[in-house]
Amino acid sequence: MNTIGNDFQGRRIVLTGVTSVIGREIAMTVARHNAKLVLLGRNDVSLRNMLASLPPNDHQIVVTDLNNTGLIKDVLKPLLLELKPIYGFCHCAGVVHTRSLSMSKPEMIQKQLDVNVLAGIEIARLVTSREMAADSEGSVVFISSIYAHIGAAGQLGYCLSKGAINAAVRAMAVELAPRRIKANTVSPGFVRTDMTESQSKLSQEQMQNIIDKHPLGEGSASDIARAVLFLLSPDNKWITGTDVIVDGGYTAQ
Amino acid sequence: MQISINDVLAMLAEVFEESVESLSPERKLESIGGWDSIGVLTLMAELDDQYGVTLTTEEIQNFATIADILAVLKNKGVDIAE
Repeated sequence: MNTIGNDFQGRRIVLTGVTSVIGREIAMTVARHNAKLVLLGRNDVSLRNMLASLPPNDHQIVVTDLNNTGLIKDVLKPLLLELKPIYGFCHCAGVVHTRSLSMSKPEMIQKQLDVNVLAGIEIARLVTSREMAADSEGSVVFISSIYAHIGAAGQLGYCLSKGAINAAVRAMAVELAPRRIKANTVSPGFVRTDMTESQSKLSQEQMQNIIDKHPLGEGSASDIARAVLFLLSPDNKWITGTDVIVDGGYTAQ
Repeated sequence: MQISINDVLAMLAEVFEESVESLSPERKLESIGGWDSIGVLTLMAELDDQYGVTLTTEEIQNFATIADILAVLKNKGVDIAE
């Protein structure tokens, strides 16, 4: 096990979306670097399975539905008060609802904003509150997307939600800087996940066409997790308010 | 829950940005302007959301008319009144 650098030394991290491919890899990676995790998700069984696969370190699970943004704080706060100080948070949960512009109705956009943006902000404002946060240190990472930077047909709501994340995190970074809490986004290129496989409705051929446009070829969840690990870790002292694009050169073209 | 052919046509009219009067089971899909890659992805998502029917793009590529869409919905258990 390589724990040279990026060692959390038992610091507490809250994670969402850990039953997704990228979220699971991030959870495994930060747990291997001695972080104590709080895993949030909708499915109790999936969370327990995830918990069982992690190296033991007083990890906790919280069952909550991120679609219901009004409930998140009430569900999460009592546990975090017991576990504080909370060092960091990574928002990996995300949904995509592919629709043409003409079918991108407000409720369809709202569903993506709720999970991709607002649920994450609800948790970030709890985790970074003076009551909860560690003293003069901390790190928040939101998983964004290259669709925060480029457009894609059928993805108005998803692009909007990811652009919103990047803008919100910049504001968060400036506000939290006096308390040395960093806030950043990581924007993955196309990585095969349960979201891209089923929710996006793309065919295998369409997915392969997108993958072929990445100059470094196909990426994996571990490529994303490595970037998140560094931004979250106490070794990140001076990177805040930025977006790390991890896309094999896709947006460089 | 039983739905009518008109319910499906109304949904297709919205997805493909056509008047519902212009659509009928005999209408050829290639004659519909919105029957493009994004229109097809949107249709797949709406069928999943509204009727719980999951289709692959490979299945959809074999469709020629609206009647083919109605037939596959029936085959996958959607109760459409004649």
